[in-house]
Amino acid sequence: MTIDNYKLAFQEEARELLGELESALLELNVRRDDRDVVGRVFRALHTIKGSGAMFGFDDIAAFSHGLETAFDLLRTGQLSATSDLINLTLAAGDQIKTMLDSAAGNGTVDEDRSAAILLDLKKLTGPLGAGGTPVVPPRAESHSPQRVWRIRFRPGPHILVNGTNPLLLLRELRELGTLRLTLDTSSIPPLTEVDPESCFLAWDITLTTTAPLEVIRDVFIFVEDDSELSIDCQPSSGPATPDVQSVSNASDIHCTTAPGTVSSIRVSAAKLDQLVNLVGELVTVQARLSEVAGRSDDPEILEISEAVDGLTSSLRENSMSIRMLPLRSTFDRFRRLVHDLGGELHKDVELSISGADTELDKTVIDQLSDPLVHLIRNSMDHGIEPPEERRAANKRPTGTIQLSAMHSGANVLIRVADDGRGVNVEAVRARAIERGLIDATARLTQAETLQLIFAAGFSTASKVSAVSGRGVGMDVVRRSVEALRGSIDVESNPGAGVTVTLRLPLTLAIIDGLLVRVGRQHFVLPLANSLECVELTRQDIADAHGKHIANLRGELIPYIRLSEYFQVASERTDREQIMVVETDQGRYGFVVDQVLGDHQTVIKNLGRLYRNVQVVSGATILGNGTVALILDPNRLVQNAVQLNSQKKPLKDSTKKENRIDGTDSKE
Amino acid sequence: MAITVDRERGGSFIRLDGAITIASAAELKTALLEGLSTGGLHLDLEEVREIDVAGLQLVWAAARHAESTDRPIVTRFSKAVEETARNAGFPRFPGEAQTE
Repeated sequence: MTIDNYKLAFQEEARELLGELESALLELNVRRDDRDVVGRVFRALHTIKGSGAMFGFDDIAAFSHGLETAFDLLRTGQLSATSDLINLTLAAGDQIKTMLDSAAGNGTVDEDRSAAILLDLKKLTGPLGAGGTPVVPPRAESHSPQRVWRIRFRPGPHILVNGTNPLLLLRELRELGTLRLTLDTSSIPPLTEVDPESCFLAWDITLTTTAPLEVIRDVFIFVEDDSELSIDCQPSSGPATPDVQSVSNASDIHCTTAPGTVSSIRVSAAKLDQLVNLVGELVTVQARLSEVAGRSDDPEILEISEAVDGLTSSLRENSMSIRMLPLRSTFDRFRRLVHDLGGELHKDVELSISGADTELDKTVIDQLSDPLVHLIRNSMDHGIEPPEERRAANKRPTGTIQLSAMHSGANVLIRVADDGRGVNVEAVRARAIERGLIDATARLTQAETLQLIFAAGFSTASKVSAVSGRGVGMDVVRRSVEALRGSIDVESNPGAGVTVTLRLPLTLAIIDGLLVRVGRQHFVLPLANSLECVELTRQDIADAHGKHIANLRGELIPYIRLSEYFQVASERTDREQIMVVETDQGRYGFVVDQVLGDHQTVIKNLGRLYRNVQVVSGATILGNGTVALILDPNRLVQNAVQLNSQKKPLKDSTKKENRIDGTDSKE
Repeated sequence: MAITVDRERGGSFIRLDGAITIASAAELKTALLEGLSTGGLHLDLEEVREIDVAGLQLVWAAARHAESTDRPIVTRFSKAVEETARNAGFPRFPGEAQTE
């Protein structure tokens, strides 16, 4: 690794730390007295400062030093958390981000702003923390008793190459109190055998200080992972600590970090993408192999093919799971957005997050942030009313936005729900007619009308605010979600709020599918939605008196003939098969000629030309080189129900809501 | 770091300049080994303004090597270097003549 690589690694790590800093600050905003949260803020700042200095980001180190000092005062209880301090530190976090960006060659840093932030900070901390220059830690003045710590510090051999200077750590310890150290040079090999870049020194340290254990540990924060470190509290025999308490504490304060306990490594996202692409290719080739093996009668080849099949499948699952990330980091970022927007719009809004542990493919997560930002901005600006209006409407003055995620088959549902005023459906309709999006006589359901808000440039807001109202946002949401092969549903309860649900596929790469045949066409159904496969005999059809309903163990399941729906010539054998599929509208059956079995499906995009084909979520290449369409059961059922209701006269009283009535119009 | 080597009768005179850090450690090791192979080694760190763990280790190893062959190296060093060594816990500067 060159030093540039370390700098890159630092930048990446610093960005993560800034995220942690931000979420800790926002938590602190809610729980002002929580020492743990203050500790989290402090550690994040401390690490940014320390590793910044280590890799030559002196501006970042100097800047974060001032902040660190302030939070150290907070930690020792000499300062209390105020909104001003939290907001200032949030702004400072952003400033560090621009410093990182500028170091990476993007943009420049506004030095005046940095200075202004530090100056404001100084005003807040008062004479206690003079930011800018390293000060004697005020913790030395606190009243906790002096204790004697025995620290055994054996740096790992690679510590120097990793950019750590153990001498600086010793200097930091020295700042905490009285230090006595014994250098152990016994590990230095003869000059001829010395690896000049490895560290062979080790120290036994006796530190007399009032600083608590966590402060001492913080010194070793960067080296813990690759060093042997033990910190023990020792009852002092000397007169330095005649404190009984420290003796009683001696046994329970003990922390050891074993060397070489690296539990995760950093891999560039591009490498992962490459891996998944290769696995995708492998899956396609494997499908060809099974095809060929299936045609030949050679049992040996068949056996190999099956073994390869199993391995490919595990490999696929494994590589996909590597790309799965929890939504937490994405969700947590919105706390900041809500906090800032709330201030800007003079609205009090709480963000509640649930299901943040739901995992989604990294590529999906990356593209999810934008649409969610727009949805939340929209809710904050248009949805949630100002406090006075909320009081007048008998609501809690504090608005709530709920951000949640949950699994549903091969999809993840992400909901943004607010408890604001809701969308005025009539206004949307009037605006749509005005803009010529729909005909004045058009009859639309509420759901259909609400979909109109996703049209480009659509806005019912009478005035454009800085936050939203330009009608761009929702269009962006729609485009991003469509690009992810997802769909959007809007539900609005006037006066009670809007719920927007994004339905996104778990992954954009490879899924488990079920291969079916209709005539000479092949289709893939997502296995996650498929429940079971039953036979449909002539007798069953006759029993249903021509209705498209099958009797499955007493339950009536409406079905759709794929051959009719796609107008494919089908064989119409005596025994057809129904794939029973779980959809949003309940269970539905798809009638196919033959169910061929499991199929590992590498999803390929259909391209722009087919962008408007909603019932198909992509295509895949089969072993014999032909293309099979991947069906989206939810959309398919929705579409079929719609087609059917258009076909049927409205007087049909047997028509049930949201269900195919089952009458075959041709018969 | 800059290394100046003067070969004299019965030994080498190595003068180091600037910062002796991990970045130049490999170079220093080669120079020290060469110097020791010529018999006596005089190491001058008077102009060194910075030294790190990697540098200290090498000087220490060189000093021990020289002691084992009964030809102690003589070092001169700057205040900065001396302070670093002391802070690192070296009781005396590696290679420093005990009589001094």
